[in-house]
Amino acid sequence: MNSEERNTWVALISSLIVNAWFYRQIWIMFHNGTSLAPDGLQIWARTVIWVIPVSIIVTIVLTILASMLYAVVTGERAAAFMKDERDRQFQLWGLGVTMIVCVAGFLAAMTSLALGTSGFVAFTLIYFGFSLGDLAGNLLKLALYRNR
Amino acid sequence: MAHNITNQIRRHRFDAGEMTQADLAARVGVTRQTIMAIEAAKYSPSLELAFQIARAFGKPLDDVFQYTE
Repeated sequence: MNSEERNTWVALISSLIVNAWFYRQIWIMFHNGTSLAPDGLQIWARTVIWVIPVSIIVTIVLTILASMLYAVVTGERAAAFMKDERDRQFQLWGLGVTMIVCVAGFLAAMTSLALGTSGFVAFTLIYFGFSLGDLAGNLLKLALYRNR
Repeated sequence: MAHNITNQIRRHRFDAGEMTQADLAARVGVTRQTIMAIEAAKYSPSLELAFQIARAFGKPLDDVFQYTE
């Protein structure tokens, strides 16, 4: 497993952890009525902004843990942080899938708005598109690393 | 199509005194996993990388890589 494949695993696990936390917050907001409150969107936006530093911290911690685990398992002390043309090709294909899913999420959000749902739901759908796109892109990259 | 491109990397590594995949990877500036994937014909390298691999063995390109219809 090269460093880029390892980083993809880290990104996948990191986004699962952070998104689990985010969707839990959204779930709570739906159930305590925040989603319908006048400042519901502001609270939603603050939660999204919190996702950024939380995501960075979780990714750094997981990257360190993954490097340590890899060194212990393989006995390779020096981690080879190298990205070559194969990594870049897989990254490009993963990005393509991510973009398609993101656009689908945006279209779903616009459709939901047109059908009369709240901005809270529409913004959550957009975020869902991003997170699902990220997940799909990372899964595709891992599949490519395993099979090509 | 990746499966149309075959290669003789394994044989050339053997001829070069059992050069390891890691050695070849270091010479051409890619990861060992990429050399493994190319050698197994799972990944088709760029033209530039193909030339670099051939040059690492001191062979012309078509001694190392072949395209079959």
